[in-house]
Amino acid sequence: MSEPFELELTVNGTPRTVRVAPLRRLLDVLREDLALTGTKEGCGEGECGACSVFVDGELVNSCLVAACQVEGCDVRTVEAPDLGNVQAAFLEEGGAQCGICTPGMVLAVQAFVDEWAARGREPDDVELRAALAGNLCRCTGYEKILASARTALRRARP
Amino acid sequence: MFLAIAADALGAEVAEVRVEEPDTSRVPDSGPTVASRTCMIVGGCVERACRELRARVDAAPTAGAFRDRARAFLAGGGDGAVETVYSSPPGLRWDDERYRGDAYPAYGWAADVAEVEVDLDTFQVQVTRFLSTVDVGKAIQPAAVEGQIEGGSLQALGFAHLEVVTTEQGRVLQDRMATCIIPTTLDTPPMEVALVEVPYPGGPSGAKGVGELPMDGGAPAVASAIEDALGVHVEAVPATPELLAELWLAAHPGEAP
Ligand code: FES
Ligand code: FES
Repeated sequence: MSEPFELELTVNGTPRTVRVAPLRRLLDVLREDLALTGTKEGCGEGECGACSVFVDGELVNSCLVAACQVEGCDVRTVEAPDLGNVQAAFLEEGGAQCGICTPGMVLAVQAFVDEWAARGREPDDVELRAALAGNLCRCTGYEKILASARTALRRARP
Repeated sequence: MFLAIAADALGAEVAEVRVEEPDTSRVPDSGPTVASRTCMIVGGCVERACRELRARVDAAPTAGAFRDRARAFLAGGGDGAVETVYSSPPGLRWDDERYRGDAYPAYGWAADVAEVEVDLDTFQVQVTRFLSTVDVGKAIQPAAVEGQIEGGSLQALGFAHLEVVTTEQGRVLQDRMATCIIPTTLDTPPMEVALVEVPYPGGPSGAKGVGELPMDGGAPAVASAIEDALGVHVEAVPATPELLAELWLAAHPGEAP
């Protein structure tokens, strides 16, 4: 059962195949097997969100996802080429300090922007905070990350 | 920060400044990591070294941007290496052998204001607003300074009412994120920072340190706000619901909150 298998998946638009143990964490597949070290490990137990990635468009903690669960899936990490709007907003607003939470935050903000860009009204403060509540940051006090999210959303609006 | 200090002192662009990879095998021991002194002390050394370098380059009769003049200066055999060592400002006596004297030429000052709501059924505390005013001497990079103050203040708010740390036989029991409860976005109030700039003549461009200062005022501010809300003396932090219920019941025997 724990014999390595050929895992086929798409990572940031590119088809990839890696030979891994079925229960290897997606986090390790990305960081170690595919050398995509943008995704960070904060806690390794699903509490901090530093390891956030998109799997088939859904934001997940990659430390809690096993390789065998992403067979044939479309995975997007902070290295994905289409995150420029959110990344620019982080740069402008000073949304990153030590940087450990940043890759996960960028993806969580992207998920927030995707969800709200097409809606007819502005999210209120609690809705914005709730969208990022699964991502811990010890450095920023969140203020500038929230500002980054507002800026990214404003620019993503049609 | 060092990039900005160096660029300013050289009259160069920030993008033109590169910091060598830090490596303790190539630098002298500068003592312990204490007192939020990096900006003031190391930044001061960087500023003085860059001023000296600029003076050397300026002394050569060339025109144009600093990078071009610096290239010409080096090509002409000019010495581009400058070494600076920190020395205490005049009037301050420090004995490095015996570790005696006045170590601190300047202090940072801050005033913090917290607004809280306390649930009278559960004694759960929510900090609803937080304001920090900090005298930093001079904010070299205001957004970074604000970020440091917001982040440090949030740690202080965590200490104030969330982050229980207990030990058993010397081992910290909250050894993982599932038990070490740090604030999420939803535990965090909107935060305001007001920078006060009273330049300190001994620091680079008048800057003082701001590293540790934001950790100091937040918990007392929250504890005071809780005292004001409940009318009981909050004698310890974190002010957990359990602690507050105990304090309130002790002060109101036989009453319901
Ligand atoms: S590393 Fe995955 S949630 Fe913290
Ligand atoms: S920037 Fe350091 S944890 Fe968020």
